[in-house]
Amino acid sequence: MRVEDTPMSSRKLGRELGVPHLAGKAAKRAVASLEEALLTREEWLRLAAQGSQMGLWYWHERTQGLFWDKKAREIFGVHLDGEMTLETFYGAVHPDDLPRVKHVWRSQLESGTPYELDYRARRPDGSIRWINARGRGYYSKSGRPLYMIGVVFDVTERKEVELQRLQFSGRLLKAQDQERNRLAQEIHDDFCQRFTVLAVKLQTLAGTIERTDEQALAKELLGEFTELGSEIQSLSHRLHSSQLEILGLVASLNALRTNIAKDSDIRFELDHANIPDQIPADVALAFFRITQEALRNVVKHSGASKVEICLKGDVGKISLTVFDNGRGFNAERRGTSQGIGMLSMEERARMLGGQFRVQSRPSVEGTRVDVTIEFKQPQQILGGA
Amino acid sequence: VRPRVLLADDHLPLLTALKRLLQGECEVVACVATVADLLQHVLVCRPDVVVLDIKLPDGTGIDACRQLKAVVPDVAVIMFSAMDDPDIRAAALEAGAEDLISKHTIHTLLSAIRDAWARKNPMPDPLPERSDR
Repeated sequence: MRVEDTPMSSRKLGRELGVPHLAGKAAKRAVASLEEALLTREEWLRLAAQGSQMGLWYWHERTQGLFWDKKAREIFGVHLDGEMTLETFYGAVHPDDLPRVKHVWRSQLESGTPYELDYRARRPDGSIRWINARGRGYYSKSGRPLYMIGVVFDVTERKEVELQRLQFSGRLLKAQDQERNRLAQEIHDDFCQRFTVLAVKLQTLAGTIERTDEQALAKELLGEFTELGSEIQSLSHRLHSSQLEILGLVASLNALRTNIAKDSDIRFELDHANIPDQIPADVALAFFRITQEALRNVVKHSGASKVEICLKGDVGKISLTVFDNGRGFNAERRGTSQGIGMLSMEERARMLGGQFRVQSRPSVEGTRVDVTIEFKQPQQILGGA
Repeated sequence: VRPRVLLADDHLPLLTALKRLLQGECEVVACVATVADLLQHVLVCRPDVVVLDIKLPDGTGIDACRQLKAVVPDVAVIMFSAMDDPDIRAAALEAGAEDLISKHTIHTLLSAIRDAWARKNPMPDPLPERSDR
């Protein structure tokens, strides 16, 4: 990296860094060997940067000067020559990511900790690139920030592969779901029904038997039959519970909450308003599964003491909010199991044209999941006493 | 006198088998396959006990039970479901059902009907009348 401008005299820099200012031959020798070492390192760095497609930048705090090398400029698609300002940089960051970038950059510089951050850049031609940025600040003895150096990588391809992989996992989850439902339905509609009919017939037959030893045998048979039927039924139930269809969304969520609360110290609150009796089955299932996944995440990862589940109905739409007071997580990090869960929630909402949003930051209190799905109210209203 | 029973299930072979099973001890007054038919027949047939599947093609047994109880409050409803799920059981009882039995323990149906019938028609007190009555 070649730093063209010298923002500070060497004497002054020496003072700032606490390095004694040398004079005469000793100084020349020291400078020469230092220069050699620097050149070697610079060459190493240049080779490494070229090989790894790494962009370099440098920020000088006092002059507010910014330097970007050619590769960094290429990555962001900004002009290859001329002055770089903080505004050029901000202009190149995707507007949705800019507040986060500004915040992390500034707070890490001030707190003196190195940072790593993924964000999107928007090139002048409108294309979006994913950037992985790492950097750290350097400080005077008194702790004042002097400068900051960093590197950027274009990780768009990696991100795309990651996203595809996760989308694939989401689709896999969905396919698994559908297959389970199909199997459960088949077991229920066919085997279970036939078993029940056979058990009833067997019982009818047993009622006509007069000899006591034969009666005992019939009773035994009926017992074995019942046991087998029960096992098949419980297999069907494990594959797919029909609770949601029978109880409806609110009662099922309530049951879910109660069941999870049994094995946990977390307080679960469910609040609902204006939920119509008739909700399309796929919409109800999406809300149920999203809540299930969100609560599972809360129990596993959040360390929260309280969760609020809020379900609100409006004309032709339902909104769900699941909010916990736990430790939060990095909503950007989607390669984890938590991330896959998030993605499957998002997939479920998106499949029905719904909106999905997670707000969470590590160590900042709370995670909030918001889902809204619009649907057509069914024309035919069943029942309604 | 035998309890008058109405069977509501959309699975025809099960309806037939249940009818045969109950014949001796009960009078099966009607068999229906939908909630709509159930609500109609219950007014005409006036059963003592309705045996109701948890899921019918046009609605859930829970909703049907609620509607049934609103129309004929004195009818006893015994629901049966594929699974003995405690939440479904709670919802069934809350809707006014006497009992919920799972299909794999359907052999307990007869005794459940008997119990419901006995609760509806208590036997005259076999003890001699006490002076404070």
